[in-house]
Formats: sequence, structure tokens, C-alpha cells
Amino acid sequence: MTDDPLLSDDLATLLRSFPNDALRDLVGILKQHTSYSVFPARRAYAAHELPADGDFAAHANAIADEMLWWGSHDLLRQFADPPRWKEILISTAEHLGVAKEERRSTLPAWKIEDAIFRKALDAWEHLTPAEREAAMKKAGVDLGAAKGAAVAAAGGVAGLGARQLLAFLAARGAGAAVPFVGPLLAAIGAVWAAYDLAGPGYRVLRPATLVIAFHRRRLREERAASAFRD
Amino acid sequence: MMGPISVTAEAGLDIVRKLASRELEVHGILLRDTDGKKFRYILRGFEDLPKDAARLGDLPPLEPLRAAIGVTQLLQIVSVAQNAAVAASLHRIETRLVAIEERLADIQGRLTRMQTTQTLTLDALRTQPASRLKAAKAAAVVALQHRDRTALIAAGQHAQQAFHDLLEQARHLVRIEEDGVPVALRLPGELADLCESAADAAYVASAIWIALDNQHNAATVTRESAEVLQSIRRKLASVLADPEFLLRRMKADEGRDGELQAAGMRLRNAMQWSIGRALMIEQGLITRDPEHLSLERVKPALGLEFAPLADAGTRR
Repeated sequence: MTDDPLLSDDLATLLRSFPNDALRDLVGILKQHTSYSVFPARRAYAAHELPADGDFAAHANAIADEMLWWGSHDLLRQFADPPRWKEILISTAEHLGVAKEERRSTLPAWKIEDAIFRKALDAWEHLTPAEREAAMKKAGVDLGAAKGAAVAAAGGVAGLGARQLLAFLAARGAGAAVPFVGPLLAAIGAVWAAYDLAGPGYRVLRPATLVIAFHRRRLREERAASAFRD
Repeated sequence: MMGPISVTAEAGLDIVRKLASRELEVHGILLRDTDGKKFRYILRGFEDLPKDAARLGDLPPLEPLRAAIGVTQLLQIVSVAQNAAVAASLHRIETRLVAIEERLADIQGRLTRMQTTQTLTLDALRTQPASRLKAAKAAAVVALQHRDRTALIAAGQHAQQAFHDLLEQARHLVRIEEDGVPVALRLPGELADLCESAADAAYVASAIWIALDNQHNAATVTRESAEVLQSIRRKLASVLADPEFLLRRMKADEGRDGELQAAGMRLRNAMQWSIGRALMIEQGLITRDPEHLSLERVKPALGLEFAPLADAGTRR
């Protein structure tokens, strides 16, 4: 068990340590999706209504609740507590074909998130630029105006390899006025459409997990780097 | 352990006796001018204590001293304490080097478990700094007892070589990579041990050069320590901040965030301490002890000329 919120297995603890832009990216994905469940939905509607510069941090617990709700089973949640974040991650990772040793229950949540993230980038790497373009279009991503030497050299974001794409996100995505980390990661998540996941929740969990994994990783890296700076 | 030089206050003598018997350890003394500006006078070892615990009056063994002693006397005690600390630091560094030796062996074990493909030179270098520091310590003791300049020069050379060996090992950990990530980021505690030990060795070397009235060498070795530690910090910060390497770091990650932060702090402290000492040497605040009873003497400067460290801050 760790006291470090950025290494926590508890989603609410983690999201309470996220900055506003990271939560905004997450909510951007959550609010795109409609639930077809006949049961009451535990959704963070107040956060859905916020403008892009709204105070998402005040709704961190509600956003975590909604994520856990998307990861729960309609019938089971009527009789039992919602699953924990790690359980949802393990199940998501299993559906996405993450290797067994990378989704063991003994691993911390952040490691399973990382494994999912790497799997997503691996899938992106194996697509042609045309297929990536199609995936982005399907996810409603418009990055035509995205600038940067790597983007220009690759002929657009769809031309970027996984490593460059990640660099692009890390360097320009975090904290940007116009959210595109969420949409772009949603596009990467859409690459897995071929997996045809059973539960409707996975269409939300898939990109949302990528957003959480990306921001958790980004924040940890920034913190580590700052320890070696003045 | 060095004996006292001269102390006007009985309480001061008592402190020194306690220092000599190791009943009391000097970690630092906080001086405050009349405007409340805080100056922290650092003796090695102080940095591990919480800042607030450093107030002279708060240290119970110094309680009787508080009402009776003046600033000048206090500074003399500081000076004596530092002299005692120099001798103590030789012992401390020797002890530390033994620990470092063990840690380096552990590093090798861990790298083997990590199935590293890198060729390490650590084994060859492992025992050298420890033996050099031991030689330096022995030579310094002889030199101080017999005022033997030749022995002191040998001690200085041994200490300086130990410093360079340790520094090279620290750089090596930063230079070699495993899965595209510097090994230092996977072994941050070991890196910090090496860097602190290098700073310690530089301290010993510089104290010996000061005893030989060679301020230039003393300042150079101390400044080199600060500069290399700073370059290591910059290199690691840039690797950690470079998104191009994010995937590699993700793959190599062992969740040692706390250790990384602690190592970053230790490197920063070692670097700042080295810079502070280099400045004090360059400004003539640390000089040869004219009585040859110790390696160096800190010039009593009424407290106000000591350069405050960056984290000391001010309080009004």
C-alpha cells in the first residue's frame, strides 16, 4: 500500500491529485457516451456540464464514481459494491489481449494501466497512416492544424509512429487550451474496435483508461524531473 | 579526535568534551541577526535534521549556554566544533565508504538480476575509493600529530583520487543505460550514495589542501564536486523530461518514485553544500589553522558574513 496518490490503486485518490486539464480530458470522453442501462446511472453530470475552463477538480470523486460505474456489471451492481479500479483494469486488459503476466492482480494499478497503454501504442504502430486517419475521423478528432517539426515531417499526426505520437502528446497536449489529449487517445482506443468488446462499458473504459494512464505517467515524470532541478 | 584550541567559556569546553566523547554530535547552529534574518551555518551531517531542530537554544545539551554566551564566544565554539567535525568526518567517511562498498556490490547483484547487457567497471573501482580514503585518513592523522607536510600532501592526493573515483562511478551510473534508460534512474539510492560520498571526499581533500595553505586546490576540488553534481542532476532531469524516452521509461519503471525524489533531494543538498563551501574558501572564510591543530579554521565573522544557503530563507 502506498501513500503516494500518483501510485495509488484507488481511482478517487488518484483523480483527486490530477490537475484540471487531465480531468477535463477524462470528462470529455465520459460525456460523449450514452448509457443504455435501465438502471439508475452514477454519472458525474455536473462535471459534464462544465465549460472547458471549469473547475473539474471539485468533481474528482464523482468522476471516479462514474468510471467505476462504467466498469461495473448492470445486474451485479444492484447487489454488490462496485468493482475496484484494479479489477476493472485487469478485466479491460484481458479483453484487449494484454499478456497475462502484465495484468496479474499482484501488480499495482499503474503497471496494468501502463501495459494497456503500451498495447494501444503497439496497435497504433501497426496501422497504416490511412487507417489511423480513419480512426481519428471516427473519433471526431481534427488535428489538421497540429504543428511541430515531427508532425510536419510525418505529413500529419496520422503519420507519427507510436513514440513520436507519445512525444507529441506529452510535449503539446498537457495543459493545452484546446483539449486534444482526450480525443486523440480516444482515436487510439478506437483502433481496438476489431476486438469487439462485449460490454458497452468498454467503449468508454478503453479510451478513458488511456487518458488516465497517460496523465498519471505524465505527472509522475514531471515530479521526478523536478526533483533534479533547482 | 582533535582537542580543543581555545575556548573562553566553560560551557564551550564542555561542548567540546562532549563532542570528543561522541556524547554530543554537532549538526548545525543557527545564528540570527538582530533583524531576524536567518543564517544557517552548516556542519556536515546537519542536512538530515529538520531545519527547526537546528536552533542552538533548542538543543538540550546547550541549554546552559544560552544565557551566558556572546556571539564571539559562540563563533569560537563553532570554529572548534568544525575542527572536531573535520576529524570526525574522516572517521565518518571511512564508515560511509564501507557502506558504499557494500552498496556497490548490491548494485552489481541487481544489475545481474536485471540481466544487463552493459559492461560495468564498478567492480574494478569498488575497493579503491575506500582504501584511498583510509590511507588519506591515516596520513592526515600522522601529519596533524607531527606537523608532517609530506604526509599531509600524500593524504590530500589520496583523498582527491578517492573523490575522482567516486565521481567517476556516479557518472558511470548515469552514462550506462538499460533498455535505453540510465541505470542511475533504476538505482537512485545508489547514485545518491555515490554522489554524497564524492562530495565528502572532496571535502576531506579540500580541508587537507587548506591545511597546506593551498586555497586554489581546495576551491578547485570543491567546485568540481559542485559542478559535476549539477551536471548529473541536469542530465537526469533532461532524460526524465524528454517525452521521446517516455516509452522506454515506462517499460523500465519499477515505481521507485519516492526513492527518485529522495535521491534528487540528496543530490541537490550535496551540490549546494559543495557550492557553499567553495564560495567560503574562495572568499577566505575558511583558512589554514595557524596553530596547526586542525586542518582548517573558519574565520570568525560575527555570523553575518556566512553565506546563507539557498534553502535557509529569511524570517522577519
